[in-house]
Amino acid sequence: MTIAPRPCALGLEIDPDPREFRRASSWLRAGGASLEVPEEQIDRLELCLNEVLANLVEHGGDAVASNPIQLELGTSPVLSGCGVQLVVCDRGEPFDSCQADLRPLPGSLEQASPGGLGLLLVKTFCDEMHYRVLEGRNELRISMHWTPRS
Amino acid sequence: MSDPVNAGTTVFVKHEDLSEDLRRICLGGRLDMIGVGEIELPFTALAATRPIAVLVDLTGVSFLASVGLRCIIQSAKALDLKGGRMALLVGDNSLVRSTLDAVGIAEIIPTFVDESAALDSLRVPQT
Repeated sequence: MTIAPRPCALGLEIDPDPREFRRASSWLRAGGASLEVPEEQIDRLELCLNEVLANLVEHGGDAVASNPIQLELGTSPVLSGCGVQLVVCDRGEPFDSCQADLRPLPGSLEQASPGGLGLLLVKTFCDEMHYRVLEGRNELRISMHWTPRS
Repeated sequence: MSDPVNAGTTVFVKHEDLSEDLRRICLGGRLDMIGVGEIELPFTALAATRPIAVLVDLTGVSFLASVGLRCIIQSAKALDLKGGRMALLVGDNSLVRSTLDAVGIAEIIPTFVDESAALDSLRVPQT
């Protein structure tokens, strides 16, 4: 079970624009390093962040385009070891990506559909994913866990 | 402290024709929405306009988002329709490898760690 991030979690607000994604990535990597998150978890979380932001910008419509996106990063102790949690908040139409169906992996190049890969990557790479609507905002929580080296 | 995100942002696409019907295309840098926007047209033009064998070298890619995967898959499909074929080279790039594995791309585009094995696979005549 994941516990909510501590109140001292790091925050960033970005415009819903692909040019802002790299600033968000830099913030995530710097924040992850300061929270002593291992490189592997930072790499995966960075990919998840990019995919979630890309989905918001591509599919979020006018409500996303006209409001900033809030990001929050914090540690989240888990029973089995350590954890880090990224929270993404937006004001777009409610969409629970946790419940969205994943497309099956293609069996051949002819069958391959280039869509839906972003969500597949997020669901494959994260250890936990939670969604809720809170005070008119979508809130997506993505967690990574690891066991500390002794 | 250096910023690994901005340090790896310079994207590039280079190519070398190893023979009349075998082309090597090297992609490098950060293949996110911005990066793919910069290389998509030249990459597609190099990869999918002639019925040849194409090795796409991803060893220099520092970040591979789904938009980059889409670009590669679309070019592979277009090349396949023209009668050509594509293989991917990842070398020891574990980040790119894990991204490719997550979507099962090796099931649809042959993926290699070793360059000579990749080239050998493309030199085998198609049945």
